[in-house]
Order: sequence, then C-alpha cells, then structure tokens
Amino acid sequence: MIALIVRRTGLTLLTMLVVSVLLFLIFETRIDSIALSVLGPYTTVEQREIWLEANGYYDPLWQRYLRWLGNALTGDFGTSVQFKRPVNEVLWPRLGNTALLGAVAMAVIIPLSLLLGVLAGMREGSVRDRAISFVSILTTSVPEFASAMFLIGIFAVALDNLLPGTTNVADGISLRELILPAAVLVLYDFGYVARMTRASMAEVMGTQYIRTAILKGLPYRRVILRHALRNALIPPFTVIMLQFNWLLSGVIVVEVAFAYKGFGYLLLEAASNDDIYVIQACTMVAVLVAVATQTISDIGYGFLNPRIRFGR
Amino acid sequence: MTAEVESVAHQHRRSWLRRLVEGIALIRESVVGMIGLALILFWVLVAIFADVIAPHDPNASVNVRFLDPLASAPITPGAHPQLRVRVEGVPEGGMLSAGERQDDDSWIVPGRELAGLRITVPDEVDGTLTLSAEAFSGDDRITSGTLAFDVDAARAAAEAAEDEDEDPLAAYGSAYGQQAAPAAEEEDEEPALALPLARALPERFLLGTDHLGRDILSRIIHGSRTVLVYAPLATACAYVVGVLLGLAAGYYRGWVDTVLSFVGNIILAFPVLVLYVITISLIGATGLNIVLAVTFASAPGIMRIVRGLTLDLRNREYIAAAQIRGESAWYIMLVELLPNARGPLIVDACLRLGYVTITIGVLGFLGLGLPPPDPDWGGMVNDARNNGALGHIHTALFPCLAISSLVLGLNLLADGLREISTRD
Repeated sequence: MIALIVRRTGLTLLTMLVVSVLLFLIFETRIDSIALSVLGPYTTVEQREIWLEANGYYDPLWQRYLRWLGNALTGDFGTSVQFKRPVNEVLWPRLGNTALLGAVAMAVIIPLSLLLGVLAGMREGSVRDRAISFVSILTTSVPEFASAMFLIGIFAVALDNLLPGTTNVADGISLRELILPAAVLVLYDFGYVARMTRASMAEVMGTQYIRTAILKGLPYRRVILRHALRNALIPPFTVIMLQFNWLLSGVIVVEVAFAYKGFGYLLLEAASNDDIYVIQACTMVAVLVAVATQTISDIGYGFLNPRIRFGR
Repeated sequence: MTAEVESVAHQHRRSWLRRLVEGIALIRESVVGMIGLALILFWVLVAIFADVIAPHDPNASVNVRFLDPLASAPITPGAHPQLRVRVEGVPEGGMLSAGERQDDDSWIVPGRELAGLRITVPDEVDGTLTLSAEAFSGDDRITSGTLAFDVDAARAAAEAAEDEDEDPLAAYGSAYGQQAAPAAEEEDEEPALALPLARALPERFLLGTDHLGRDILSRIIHGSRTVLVYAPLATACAYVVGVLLGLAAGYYRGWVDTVLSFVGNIILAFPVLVLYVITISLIGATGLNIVLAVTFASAPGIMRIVRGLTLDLRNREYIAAAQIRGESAWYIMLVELLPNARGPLIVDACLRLGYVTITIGVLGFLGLGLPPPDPDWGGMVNDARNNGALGHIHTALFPCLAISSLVLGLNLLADGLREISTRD
C-alpha cells in the first residue's frame, strides 16, 4: 500500500516535471515573440534586445529553465502582459471563483448521480432503469454551451430575468448568479457518473452473494444498503475523482457563456491576447489539479478495495 | 476432393458486403439504437441535399435592392457578407443615412447598413438627381449602375404625404431591425427631402436572420456539412494514430509500451479543453489544424483502449499460430488482432464521434473554430452571444438544438450497439 502511494506520487511529480518542460519549450524558446508580446508592437528592435538581455533571456536554455522552474515552484509566474500585474494577483482570485463554481456543481452531481445510478442499477432492464438511462444519455448529449443557451433562454429571457444570465463578479458572486452556471455543469456531467454507477450496481446485483442474501430472506432494503452499496460504490469513486479533469474543461465553456470571471475565462483571454505567463500558470495549475485528483483516486481506490488493500 | 473442400469453404464465407449489411441490420433489435440511427441519417441527408433544401444562400446577407424610380439601371448587389457599396454623386450639403463620406466626396456604405438607406437632398437641388453606385465584395467589384431620381416629383409627393406619419419603409427593415435612418425632421423646422435609396427585398425567413442578416435555417442546414465532414475526419485520423500506437504498445510490450504509455499519460493529464485552447491558439484555427488538434488530443485515449484489448488478445491460440506461420508482426496486429477487437472499438468510435462533434462545436463557441464565413453550429452560437444573445436568443437556440440532436443520435446509437454486443 505504501509502495503504491510512493509510486503514484513519484509518477505525479514526474508528469508535472515533463509538463513544465513542455510548456517551457513551447512558450519560451521563441524569445523574439516574448519580447514583442511583453513590450508591445511599438518598440524598436534595440529596446526589445535590451529587455531580453536585462531579463536574462540570452542565457543557455537549461539555465533559463531551472530559473523558470524555481520561480514557478515558489509561486512566481511572472507579470501578466494584459493586466500589467503579477500573474499571482490575477490567477488566485479567479481560481477561487472557479473552485466555488466547481464545488457547488460537485455538491449536486455526486449525490444526484449516485442516487440515480443506484436506483437504475438495482433492477437492470426495468422501466425505471430505462428511463434514468435515457435521461442521462439525453443530458450528456447536450453540449455545455447549448444547455447554457437553453437555460439562459428559459430563465433569463422567457421568465424575465428570474435568474441572471451573466455574472457580475465585481461585487462578489451571489448564489442566484451561481445557479445557472452550476446547473449547466451538473446537466452535462451527472449522466456519465450515473451511468457508471448504474453499471457497477448492476454488476454487483448479479453476483452470487447478493442472490444468497436475498434467498436467505433478508429484507430487500438491507440487502441494498448493507451488502450491495459497499462494493457498488467503489468504481464510482474513481469516476467521480476523474470528473475533476472533465470539470476543468467544462468550466471554460460555462465561464465564457456566463461571463463568469474564473480560471477558464482567464485562460481563454490569455490565449487570445498571447499573454504567455498567464497561459503557463493556468495550464500548470490545471494539469496539477487533474493529475493530483487522479493520484488521489488511484490511492483511494487502493484503500477502498480490500483486494488491493490486503493484496500486497 | 480439394475442389469440394474449397466450395464448402466458399459457402461459409459470404461476401464482406453482405456481412456488413447484416451487421448493420442487427441494430434493428434495439429501439434506442434505431432512434439514434434515424437522427444521424436525418442529418446526413440534410448535409447531402443542403443545396436543395436550404432556402437561401447561407453566407448571403439579406438581399438588398437599389430603388431607382426612373429605372435607368436597377442594381441588386446580391448579398455577400463583406459587401460594401460606393456611391458617387451625392450633392454638396446632401448626405446618406449610413456609411461615411470619403475624401473624394464619394460615400462608402457597409453592406449590413444598406437596407433602408436614404439620401437627404438639400433644398437647392431640383430636377433629376443622378447617382452612381458600385458594389464590392472585399475588393472585387460585383455590380455597378446609375441611379436616377426625379427630385421635383418626390418633393411634391412628400408634401402630399406629410400628414401621414406612417413610414412606408419601416416595414421593409430586415428581421434584425435595420430600421430606416432617423429622418431629418428633428434637426430642421423645414424638413429636408429624404429619398429612399435601397431597401431589403421582402423575403421569408423561417427561423429569422442573424446579426449580419443571414438566414439562420440555411446556415444550420449548411452547417451540418461542416460538422459531418470535420467530426468524422478528425475521429478517423485519431483512430488511425491511436490504433496503430495501441497495437504496437500492446503487442511489443517492453520499452515500446512504457514509452508510448508515458507519452499518452502526459497528454491525457491535460484537461482536454485546455489542450485544445493551447494548441489551436498556437497553430491557428483552420479546418486542418482542428483535425490535427483532435487527433493529438484523442489518440492517447484510443491507444489506451486498443492496448488493453491487444494485451487481452495477444495470448490467443490463433496469434500463436500466425507467429509460427512466420507472419510479420504488423500483419498479425492488423489482420489477426484488430478485427477481433472491433466490437468495443465500434462502440467507442460512436461515442467518440459524439465527443468530437461537441468539441468542434465548443471550439466554434469559444471563437477558436473554423474561420468565417462558412457556417458552423458552434460559431453561430458564438456570433449570437457576441451580438446580444439575450435579445435575440433564437439565433443561438436553433444551432444548439441541431448539435444536440446529432450528438444524441450518436450516443443513442452507441448505446444500442453496446446493448446488442453484450447480448450475445
């Protein structure tokens, strides 16, 4: 078990290291374009060369990489070209906004999808199973931007601004402003988790120990709650942890659709304005979250599954 | 004796076409799959017959016609998204209701402001007013002509109609409310004569028009082509790369597997959309680059599935038999292994096609999609959002419905296929 944790953590660090090298090579090798994007197009070649010299861009690549990595590790990602402020000052509040949105969405997705999945998987092939499966296919088929438009159309336009279609982060985010963006994430995501839970539940319900439990006369409720759920909820745990990776993609679309000033909006703004330091910082954070949740999911799976916990 | 064996073998081995048709026909056993197939077929037919079905040119703005009462040269500058019209001969003191006066006293009017264009004629002018107009699309001249107006007659008519507040031109404003310019009445006590120069041809738009006055229905119909070309193309490319790498990783194992899996895991560590945003903003948004980006981002996932299937299948006896026959490694992978792994792969391909369709839509929505003017569904939603989605939500809703129904079809088909494949 400890070996698993050490191995997984090492792999995470290695992945982050490789990603940092990749990002460095992609963005920092064309130093002329860095100078251009930082200093702006109305500068002379000499000015740019002086700037590059002063900031050590003519040093060997590996020296620059190590310095860059050192700065990134201490949380210094440079200065944003478009905001003229340290990337940190821009990034962390935005990340906080996204975390809030993601937390609200997850707080709905997890109970909803587990409940629906278990209800569907209890009796495979029943009307309830088919109905839940169909609804979850239907909602996963609607892209986030489409459901955002549908929800805006219904709640912000047709119902005359019952819920706001855009967010105004300047005076803090109110709960009313969070409902629609979070609803979009929930709609797109819960179907997948519910289907995975259903598959796992259906598999468990087909095993012999459940049949035995039913045949020896245990109440059905007790069979489900005590015997089936314990094993059926292990695979969904992995699936839910992997949803964080998906959620990071989803928030980009949702934040753009609702003008929600979060991490995804920041990344898109940075990409369209060639703000390389912000792009680097956003990508590093996004990959870190994705890899970390995957590692937690792997280690957690080991803890939850007795076959692995006692196996080695 | 040998001849007999051959003929028996022949009977058992039906033509590939027949087996394919029979394989596809299996979907009739699943109601859900049939619904999915019907949705997909609907959009495929729409895409094939787009030219016949679409009521209008998808890239054409509302058709504008110059009004020329004396009928010296009626011109209809057609309709191009980058239409602009150069008008010469506007008299001193006169002005057009839209566009800008250039240094050489000619006027340039952008195409979208053309409908409802008027000219304000100063009082000194009488007799016949002659203008010349040239229509350009980008830098190409499309058409030109001379417009002649009988100012005296128009002035007399205007005086006669002064009591009527009703502006006959307002009715011709396009669906997007390109209203006739505010008349000059408020400025002067003595109203200057304003002659209508051009108006939108009255046409029917079933779903309305977008911010450039283009027919939404036609754009949705033609947009199905974009999505049904690029999504399968990108998915196919991703599959070719992913299957080859996955076969190699699963069959050779050892360091090939280690290296490929590590690289794949690095790519999979990126949240998908972050990867797309970075790659597309680096290499630019063109059709080819979108295919490349999708291939790059999806191939590792496919590789992982194929690798797993290959590891499962590679110890079968028929593989050992082929190895003993002395077949080459790639022959074994492609001819022996791959066909036996096709079941899960077909289901996955169907689901992945849905994801790629969503991806292409999302890229369009984020403004990273195919360059204009050709319609794509995500781009249409983006246009609507950028140009006041709240007021004209209908311009966004129909493309959303279109893409959702197509993805729903693909997902239902995948579900049906899985149901059938797990049944036997």
